[in-house]
Amino acid sequence: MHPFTLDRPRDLAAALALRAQAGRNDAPAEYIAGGTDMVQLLQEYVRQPERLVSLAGLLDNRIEIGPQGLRLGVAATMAEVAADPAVVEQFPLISEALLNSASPQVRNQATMGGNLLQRTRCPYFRDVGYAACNKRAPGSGCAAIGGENRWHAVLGTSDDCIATNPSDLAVALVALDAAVEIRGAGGSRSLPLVDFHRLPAATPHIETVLEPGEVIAAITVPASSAARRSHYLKVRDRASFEFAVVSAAVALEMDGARIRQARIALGGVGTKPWRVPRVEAALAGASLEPQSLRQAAALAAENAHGRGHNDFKIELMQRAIVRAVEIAGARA
Amino acid sequence: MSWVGSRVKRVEDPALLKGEGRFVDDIHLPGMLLAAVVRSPFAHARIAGIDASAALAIPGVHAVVTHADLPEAFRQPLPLLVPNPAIRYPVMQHVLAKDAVHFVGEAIALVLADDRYIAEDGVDLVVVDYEPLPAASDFRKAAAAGAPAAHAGRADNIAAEFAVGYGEADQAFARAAHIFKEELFQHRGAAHPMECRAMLAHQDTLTGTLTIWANTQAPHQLRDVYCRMTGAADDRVRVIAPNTGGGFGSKVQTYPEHIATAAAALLTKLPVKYIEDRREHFLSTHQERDQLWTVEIAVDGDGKVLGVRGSLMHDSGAYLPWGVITPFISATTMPGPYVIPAYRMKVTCVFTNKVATTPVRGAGRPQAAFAMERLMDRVARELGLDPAEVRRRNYVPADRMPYAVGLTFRDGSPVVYDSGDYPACQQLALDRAGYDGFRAEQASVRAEGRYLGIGIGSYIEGTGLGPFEGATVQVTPGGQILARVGSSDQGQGHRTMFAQIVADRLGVGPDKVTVTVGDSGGVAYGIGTFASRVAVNAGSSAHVAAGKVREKAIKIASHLLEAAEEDLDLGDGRVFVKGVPAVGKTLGEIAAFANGMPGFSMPAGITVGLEDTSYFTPQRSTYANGCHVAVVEVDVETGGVKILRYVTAHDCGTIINTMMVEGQVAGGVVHGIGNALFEWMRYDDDGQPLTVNFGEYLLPLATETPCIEQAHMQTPTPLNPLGVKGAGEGGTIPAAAAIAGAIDDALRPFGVKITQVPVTPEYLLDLIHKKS
Amino acid sequence: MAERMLLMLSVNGTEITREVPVRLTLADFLRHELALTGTHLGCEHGVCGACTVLVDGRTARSCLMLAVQADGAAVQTVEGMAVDGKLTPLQQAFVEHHGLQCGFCTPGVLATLTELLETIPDPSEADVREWLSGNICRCTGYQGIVDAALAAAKAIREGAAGE
Repeated sequence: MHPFTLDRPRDLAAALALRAQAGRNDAPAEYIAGGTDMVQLLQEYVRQPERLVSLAGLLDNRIEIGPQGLRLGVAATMAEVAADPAVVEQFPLISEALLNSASPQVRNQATMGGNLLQRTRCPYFRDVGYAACNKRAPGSGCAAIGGENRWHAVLGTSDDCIATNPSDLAVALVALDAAVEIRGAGGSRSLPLVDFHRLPAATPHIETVLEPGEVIAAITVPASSAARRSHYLKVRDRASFEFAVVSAAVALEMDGARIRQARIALGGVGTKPWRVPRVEAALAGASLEPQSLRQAAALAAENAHGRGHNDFKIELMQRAIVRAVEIAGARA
Repeated sequence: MSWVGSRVKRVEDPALLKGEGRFVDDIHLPGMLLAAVVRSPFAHARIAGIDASAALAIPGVHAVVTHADLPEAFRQPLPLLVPNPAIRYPVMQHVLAKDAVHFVGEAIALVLADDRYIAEDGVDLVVVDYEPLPAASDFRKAAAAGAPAAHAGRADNIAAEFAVGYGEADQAFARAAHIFKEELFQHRGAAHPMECRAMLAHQDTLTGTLTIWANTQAPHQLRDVYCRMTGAADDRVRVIAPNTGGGFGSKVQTYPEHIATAAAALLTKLPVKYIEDRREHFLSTHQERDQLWTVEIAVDGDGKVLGVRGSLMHDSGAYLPWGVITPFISATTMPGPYVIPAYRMKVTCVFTNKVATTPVRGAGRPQAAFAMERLMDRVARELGLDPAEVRRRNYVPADRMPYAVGLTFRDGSPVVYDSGDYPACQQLALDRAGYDGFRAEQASVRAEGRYLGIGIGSYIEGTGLGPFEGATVQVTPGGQILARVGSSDQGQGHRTMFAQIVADRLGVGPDKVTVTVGDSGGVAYGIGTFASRVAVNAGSSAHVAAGKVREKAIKIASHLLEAAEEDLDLGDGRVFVKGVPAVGKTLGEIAAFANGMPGFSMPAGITVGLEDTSYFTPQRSTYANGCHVAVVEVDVETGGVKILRYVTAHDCGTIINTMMVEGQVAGGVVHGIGNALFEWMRYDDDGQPLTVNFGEYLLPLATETPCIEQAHMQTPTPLNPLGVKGAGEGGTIPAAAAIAGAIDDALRPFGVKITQVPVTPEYLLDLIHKKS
Repeated sequence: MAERMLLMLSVNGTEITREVPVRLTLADFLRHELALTGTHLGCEHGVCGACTVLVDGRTARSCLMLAVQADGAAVQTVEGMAVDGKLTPLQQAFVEHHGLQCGFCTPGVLATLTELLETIPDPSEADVREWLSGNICRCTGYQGIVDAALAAAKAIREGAAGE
């Protein structure tokens, strides 16, 4: 662990004034909340910030549900949100995605904000033994593209980076049209979560739209009848405590035996949480009959691009969509 | 009653449960320095120079030790401990890299500092000038002509070549009704005990004795290697293995880091501790990794085996610390529990620029079992027979015991299966699993679109390898019963086991026996804890030594009580006159007498001290056996495999402690499940390791582990006085074979055939896709 | 902004005040500053669970927490479980059911199961296995641990009913 200094500001304004920035390896100062991802990155020298700014006690951790929907204070832990009775009742997709993430102990520590901002599991990023990683060291190249890439993305990739976003929570939230409230020294702004993470393009080291001195303050999820009829399907090598090989978050509004509207997002396959609007459009009005589901799911692969070891994900993600829609559709 | 055979609660548990265990990193000595290691980031490179000045400038950094800084005796490679004439290039690793590195993680320098954080800061600032060289990564490519040389200047990467076999294999194939061939790629990852390597070295300035606390499976070997390299006398070096957090083979080896840490303690005249972290463990603790088997089986029209032949390629890694032991065991275990009239296996060991491979739990046997069992399943499939029936037709029958296979084992002795009833063992497993009723269940769920399958894995295991292990049993005048055993414990519960054995001989409860293990200062000679050998070797020694103490106690009591020896009995810590229990002497009183009185001669025929040291030396290995049955469900859309049931029947001879044997088997099976489905140490084409944390290298967790249902057989071996066979590795050996068989069975509608482990989802999806 | 900070917390019921480097992990603080060496480090990246302790009654990875993050918290380690050397029902169940072999992962396992039994007094085997998914054991195959957890739950329930 590289030496660093720590600030414990007495309020959020003071913390924001220190202009730390999450999710960028070239930022000299970074915020820390639960720390479950940050301390790992520090331990392995993947992050070597000069300064950490603690957000402990400075951010909202309330979980509120009203007619408008759900509002999650960003400091709420994964365990608190997953076990919240109202979340379980009205937004089971969120609870399922959380319970499929990490382990009970990590869920006790890790926060909503940290979950959305956790860094990729790409082994070339996570191990400083590799010189080439554009995300960790901008301009150094991408070792994954010609290397071992079974873990990597097939959607939204660029010639500079094919790393996946590892958050299960973000996949569920994107499917539910969630938005994030961003707080900065100059005030607040809100934007859809689907626009929060950036595609890698030529700048994979910039992962989100956060500017220096900005933090996520809250996550809001609009109320909808689809939120209840949902399923989070996570495909992974072992039954727990592993990042998704492929995952599918599905929320359905049904009209009798037919789908009125489907909202679907994928994990493990995209460089960011990946919404599939073409699949959703094809499913509108469709029955739950396997053939029509498969035809619709195939549209998810339209712009998919495998790199060899991860080619299998292209077919697998379509199957995940079909199965998750079937399971969600079968729910009352 | 007998303590051997009882479910005695472990004496080890209370301290460990209260956090009062003493592992190496729990030991703190005054003035102690913490070491961190500069390791190569390249798989193959020349070292042009090292600049440690920036590291030395950090406050709290005391020294940086490189090859050039070592005393001369330490500037040499470690010795090859198990030579073999088949080895062409006996290349061994230096204590610290001399002028080249041959795998990512090879130790180059030690930074010594006040704490580990500062030492790691120092590592970050040591500048090594590397000249990278082409690397040999995949062993199949490395074996080919023209591949990059793993060791610059060598003509090829073939470390060793040899063949084992017996009978006329080619003739058997010439007259066979059927010949079936398989190419099998097997990966076994690494041992991954939960405690990484740890060591602490300190030279006492008063006596000059160097003490090394290390979580080693072989304290005497570590001492002997150190003495052999440096010329130090045995009694100037003491190696102590305190509580150790698992080993599974990885801690048998004497590593360069052990010797380097000792050298650093001598150089600084301070205690030096090195605690490996998990990333370093992935890089530089030995693994078992890759083998490629190309094997053929010849059978007659009834599925009776006529012969087996083939070739085996083994990834040796960059160095050969234990020679060619692993592939040798693989090749000599291949015939398994079956009558194979003719057998021939050619073995090629290949150098790669990866950390060395040495035995991990099972030690090459899981691969042999996988190869043989895959062939058995193939015969069954091709001949339309039940897999259980094919095996039944080929097992060595009980009435042919002892059965000489025709091979010579790694210890130079003939492979002779001493005892066991293999067909009965299979039947026990099948009955327990409800094998006969499974087909109906399989058919009914398949109608629902679910794919269930059942698989069988049978094995034999040469356990209890010699040459010896020692034990001293002593009674003090205070009446304490002490047992000192040289081999070390990594969690198996050896102290409990030895206490049971000694207690039986001395007529006391196991709680009255204090056992010390893992101290080279406690017993003069020792070999180590591996090859499922401690119960056989050290257990027998403890049994013999305690028996000698018993005889002596009766002899002395006979003198003291003026009674004939045959009129005396021993019980409850006393020797007494049969029928007159009030007349007797306690063991403490007898010991006091045996320890002598100042100025008085010892009575004729009575030697000093109520103690004995024994070194039991088995004439050859004793063969344990077993049969596992796995039931799995395969998700044909995602490639997921779920183990629904797992049944074992096994025979490890006399069982000393059923509870502990069941623990060994269950843990072993789950290790095998990891090998079958999850654990893969991946490297890229440049020899760079990719899975260096537990997020990507997947160990089995409680959620994918089934309940392990166990049945026991006990066929005592005639080869040692306890009748015991080893139990520590059998659980692992057939697991991958049984699971692969079950997956094949589940996917029979697709005609899928597993030829690789671990079975990953993408591998399985690819197989299903190709067939459908 | 500082490289060292004052840390005040309670560990196993004892109030402690220390100045520590900000980069010191909670695990290293417990082990090396307080000599509570029952908390073990198996991976230092949050997966193996050997370092699991209870922070304000809930399990946490002490390897993924800076010591200063525990400022003001009540931390319980394995050393704080047995009272006057007497094993708790959970610890005793580990003896009875062979819930440990090498004992290296055990302190973290005990922390996890302590929280489980307080959260779900009558857990199913599936509950136990799910909670244990954050604790890797290489020795036991989990069988003895699961058996011990279920037996301890029963013993605790019956003990509570008997009071």
